Amino acid sequence: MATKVRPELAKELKRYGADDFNACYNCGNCTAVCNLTEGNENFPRMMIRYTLLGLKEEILSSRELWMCYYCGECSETCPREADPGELMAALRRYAIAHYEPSGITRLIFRNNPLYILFTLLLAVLLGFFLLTLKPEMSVSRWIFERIPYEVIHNLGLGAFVFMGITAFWGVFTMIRKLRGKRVNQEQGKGRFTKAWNAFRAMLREVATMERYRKCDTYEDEYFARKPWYLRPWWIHWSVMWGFIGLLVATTLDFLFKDPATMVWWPSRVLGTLAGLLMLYGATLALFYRILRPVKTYQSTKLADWVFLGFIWLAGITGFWMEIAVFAGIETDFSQIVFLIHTVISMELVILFAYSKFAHAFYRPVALYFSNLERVN
Amino acid sequence: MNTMNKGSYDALVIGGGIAGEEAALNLANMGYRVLMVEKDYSIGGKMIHLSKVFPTLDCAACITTPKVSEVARHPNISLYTYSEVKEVKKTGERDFHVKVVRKPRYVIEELCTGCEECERVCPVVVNDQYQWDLVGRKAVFIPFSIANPRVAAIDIDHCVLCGLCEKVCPAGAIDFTQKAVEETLTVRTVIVATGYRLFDPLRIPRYGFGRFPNVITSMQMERQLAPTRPYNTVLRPGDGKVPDNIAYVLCTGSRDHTVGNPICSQVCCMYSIKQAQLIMGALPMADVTIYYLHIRAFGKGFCEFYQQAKGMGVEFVKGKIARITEKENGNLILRYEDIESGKVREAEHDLVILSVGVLSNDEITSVFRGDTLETDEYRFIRQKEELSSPALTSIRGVFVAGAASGPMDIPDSIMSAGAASSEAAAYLTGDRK
Repeated sequence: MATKVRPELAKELKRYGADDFNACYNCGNCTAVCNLTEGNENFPRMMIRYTLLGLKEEILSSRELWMCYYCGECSETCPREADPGELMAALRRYAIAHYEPSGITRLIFRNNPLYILFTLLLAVLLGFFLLTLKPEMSVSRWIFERIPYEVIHNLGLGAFVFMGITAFWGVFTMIRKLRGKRVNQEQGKGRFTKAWNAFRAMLREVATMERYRKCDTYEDEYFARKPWYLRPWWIHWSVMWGFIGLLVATTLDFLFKDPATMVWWPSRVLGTLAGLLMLYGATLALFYRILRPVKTYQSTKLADWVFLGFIWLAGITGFWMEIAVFAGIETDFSQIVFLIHTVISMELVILFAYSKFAHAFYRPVALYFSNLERVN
Repeated sequence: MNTMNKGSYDALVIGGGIAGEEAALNLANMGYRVLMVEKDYSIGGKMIHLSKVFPTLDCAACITTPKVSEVARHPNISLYTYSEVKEVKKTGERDFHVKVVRKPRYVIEELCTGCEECERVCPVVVNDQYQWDLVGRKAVFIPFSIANPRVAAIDIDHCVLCGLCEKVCPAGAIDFTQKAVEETLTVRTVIVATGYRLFDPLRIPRYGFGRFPNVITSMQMERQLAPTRPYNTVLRPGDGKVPDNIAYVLCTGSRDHTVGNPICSQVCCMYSIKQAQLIMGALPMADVTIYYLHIRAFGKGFCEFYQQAKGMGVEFVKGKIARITEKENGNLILRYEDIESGKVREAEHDLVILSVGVLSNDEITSVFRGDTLETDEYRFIRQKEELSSPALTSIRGVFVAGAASGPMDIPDSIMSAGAASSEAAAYLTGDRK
């Protein structure tokens, strides 16, 4: 197959936040210093080559992109300061933007003011939509006099549906591309067992962060000298499981109605614990991004701030509400906090396909395909 | 400290390595009176410790010792070893005021015969810096067998002042009352030939140097291959086993921004290839693998020398070693990306040699008063006109020779010293601007 070199891709990647990869002199230090590379998974140097040659299809069909947890060791030790870790991160942003079909991500990832504008507009829309669920409030009545209730309500629903479609489309696109790149696509009955095993291995990684824990294991690495509860893998684990726990708790609350007044209700207990976990992880993550102890945290992009900031705000406002409900505080302030909490939570869901959050879909897919190559 | 006025010289040569020797000899042979100041106990620089030179495989000591002896005996050259230039001040054209401190070696140079009786009785054993810590030496010691002057010195930091050496010395040369003496001199021109430092691989903890005994530097291997070698064969230091699967890690501390030295050291490729060939001679059954980024065989006969190593069976693998780990038996696992196949690999070797790079040796710039001896962005002495007159520095009348101006090999250092001495001679006659 003929390969067309597209040098302009390197230029485009700079808009996704990668700057220095041109300095690479192909020593392979990044690939070898990484604790996660092995036999069939060799990155980041390969991704640098793809980027410099402009092999867009190769990049989009690379599961290696998602095998990296960005511990930053490659960037710390790169003799050319080509920052391969940041290129990997930029390529993931690039991939998120290109799997997602609407083009919104492509627009907002490359343009920070547009990103902020989009987020704010979405917040207003979701705020309005929220009021349609509480039409008896005076603010709601005032707004519905100007914009019809149905317009707002359907617009909100439309946003959710649109997000859902684009998210699934994105995942579908990714699966298609990764399948296309597989070397030996076996036939017959054995492939179902193989697929099941690969799926199970993927679930295990999601549950235990086994691979992530392999990062920072050598004593010369910064986080290797820190206790486990201060390490990036634990931050990631706690944010992820905190978020999932909250999602479950909220769903249970929704299904079994109004247990919010009882703190000891199982779903409330789950919500509280999960919330604490998520808040701990998000706080630590923000803390590191401000203090920048290692190279990984030296180039925090707007996409990172938005995602982490939202998670953190959702956690803080959630706890404020829990305290307010428990203590029986019924003020306008509590209502505003509730509005913020709900808008942010909804934004997190809506932005799912268009933000860093999308990795929650894409990484497991990549893990699955990686396991498929591995298990027998 | 006593200060003495010791008169004047035509030229001051700072540094007694191969470049300084060449420059001093050139000027002395033209009839100029030269003072050479060497901070170490012996002249000869780095070269005198090497085994062979590339690409001809000539004996390094055999080439350098005639020059060393000539410097030591030349009627026009005064030699100050174990001395440091503390101040150079230009007071006018062809007029430099210099302060030199002659440090005490606690042995009277004129009396010592180099009989080594003192070494035999000294009870203190410390690491021998001239064998790059592979073996020990005494606290009173002849620096190395082909040192010049071949005179003992007392390492007062480790000496226990037992006085045994003083009792046994047949020449009565031991003198514990020696003190540092500062001399003031005037010279008419200065040649800076202070050479280079080797990169300290402790700064790359991923390579395990200092933790893993079988990870050594190229200079340690150079010693093991030299005629005056410490073990009289090639051994790995960890357990004394004769290695049979040896790895070279090129670009250790060179072309690496993370250690602040982004430039090529120019010699590591070739000295590694040379050592590989010598190992093949010393240990015919051993496998030698050289892990490289790019082989830079740019000089006359270098590429042929590289091809010769390949022909002899030295294996060349493209890929930077990212990490070295130690196995229980002392063998080492080298992790790298094999660039040819694009795959991560781990290779086991029983001895690893870090081909350490060349760094600047810029302390000398701090002794210049008034005018500044400028350095370039890599802290080497700045060559004012790098292409047209490479020996000129930022101070008129001060010239640079050899690796003080940048990494270079032995023939280039000698040529550079030739250029510096010619420029200095022209400056001394007053014709040169």
